[in-house]
Amino acid sequence: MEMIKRDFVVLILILSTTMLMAQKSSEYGEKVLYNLPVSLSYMGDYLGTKPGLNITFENSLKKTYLTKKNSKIVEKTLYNPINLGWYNHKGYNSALILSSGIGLRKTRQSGFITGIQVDLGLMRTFIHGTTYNVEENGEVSTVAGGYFYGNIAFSLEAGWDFSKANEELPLSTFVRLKPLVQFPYNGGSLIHIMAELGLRTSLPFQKEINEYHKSKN
Amino acid sequence: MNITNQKTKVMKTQILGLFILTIIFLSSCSKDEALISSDANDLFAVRSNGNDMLVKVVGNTESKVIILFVHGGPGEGSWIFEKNIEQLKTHYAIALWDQGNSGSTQGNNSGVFTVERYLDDLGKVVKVLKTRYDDGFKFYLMGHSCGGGFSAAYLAEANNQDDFQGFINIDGAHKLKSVKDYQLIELKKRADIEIAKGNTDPIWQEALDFCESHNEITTIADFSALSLLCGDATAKIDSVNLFTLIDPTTFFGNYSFFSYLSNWSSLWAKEDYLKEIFWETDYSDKLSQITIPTVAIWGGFDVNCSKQLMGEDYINLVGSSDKTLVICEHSGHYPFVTEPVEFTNAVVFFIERTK
Repeated sequence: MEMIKRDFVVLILILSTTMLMAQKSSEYGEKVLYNLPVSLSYMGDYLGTKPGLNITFENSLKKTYLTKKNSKIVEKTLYNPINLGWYNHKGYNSALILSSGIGLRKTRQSGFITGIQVDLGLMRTFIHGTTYNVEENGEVSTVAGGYFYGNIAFSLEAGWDFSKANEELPLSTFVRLKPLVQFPYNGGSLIHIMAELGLRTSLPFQKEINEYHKSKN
Repeated sequence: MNITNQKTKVMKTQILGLFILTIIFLSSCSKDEALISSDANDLFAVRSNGNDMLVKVVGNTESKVIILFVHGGPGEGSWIFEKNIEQLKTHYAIALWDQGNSGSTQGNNSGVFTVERYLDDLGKVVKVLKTRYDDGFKFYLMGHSCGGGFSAAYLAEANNQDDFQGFINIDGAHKLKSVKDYQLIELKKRADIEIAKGNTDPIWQEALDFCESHNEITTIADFSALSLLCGDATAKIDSVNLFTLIDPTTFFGNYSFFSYLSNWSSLWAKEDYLKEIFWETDYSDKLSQITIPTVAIWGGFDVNCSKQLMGEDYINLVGSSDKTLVICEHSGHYPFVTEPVEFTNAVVFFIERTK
């Protein structure tokens, strides 16, 4: 439990830092209103074979438009994701995963997306079937099976932003490989290899963020 | 607060609420399946010593016979046995229990690692199993390798054996502290035989070199290396049927293979616990207290747990008047893997005779 408490404090610190970054203004950028990106994805453990779902709200922090020598523009977005996920591993357990962290995404003019994301959070597992407890006096009772754990995840993303070809279509699709470490797990830690396939769009809730324009001459 | 902000907040709450409700609905779909079936698949857990230990009852519960399997290792999990009991499952139900800090067993603490804890856990599993299957079921205890030793120790305590019709000991180690010494003896003996036969596989020279450079095993690292070498050498014996333990179903099946790996690595890092088992524990004195019928099923070429030094010694010491040693002639340490038909026949013969 000490480890979970410590990691929870670290999570709060990360969130606080990203929030502070969001409030910081810069003389090199301009304030622009952006809609709130949200993604819904199939997220399965064991490379996607154990089914699950994930919803992510992205608190955009900064956007940079980089004009390259060939005049093509690359859009870089720094964001603070808030993820709520779930997986079901039949015969083992299911789990709710709440996490947050920091992500960086590059969107090319063609629409091709790459990104990385690091998250830290908490998860609660649920044992399939009844969990029994045997009391000191030998009486058998039932309890809520499963435990709370900490988790840390690192994701690699590739995808396609359809809005680059059609501004009327604010939609992108992505695949994501997400190794997630659950801890402490019986004195060690447990790795999950998550695979995600999802859609991302924007909700009509606007937020002011810093936007930068740079060019490579 | 303006109207846009209020709308935003309401919509966010609705989306989150919908998501959580979906999860709750999907999770609630997992219920205890029918207990009585010719092909049961009942999953439950027993909480003990900070772990939720999964128990899966598979096979023919209509037979009203349940075999509780106590895996070896320590920390091996029940998955190897589960992959090789297709025939046995048609006859009886098998309760596959993953011990504490083993297999798919889950917990968020650093764990308790003592032999006493494992015997305590076994007692709780027996209690829950008999509570869940209380309608005229007959129970057998089956232990493999060090699980055979733990099972024997459990049966010898108090009135524990009253819960069982019989005990099936598969290549079990009641004299756990002698396992490493017996492995050295068996490995050297087998290497001498194979080299004398003209077998040029380099593993036999490696085995001889290891035995000559280790008169005594004093560290966990050497013991692990020795056990691994014994396993590898067994697979090179012509008379032992070919076997594979790991295939794609191991990884992508229902069993959590990563949980097994995690538990295995953290358990095998507990030197004090391993030293307690393999340097201090010997249940030889307790075997005379076991009086229920027992069958010992042994691989004829078991290098890890000697048929002669451990199997025959078990049969000599156990107190039962109804006791048999069955040798699987084409097997090493895993007769249920290498000779599933012969293994099943031996178990069925024993249970039909004693149930």
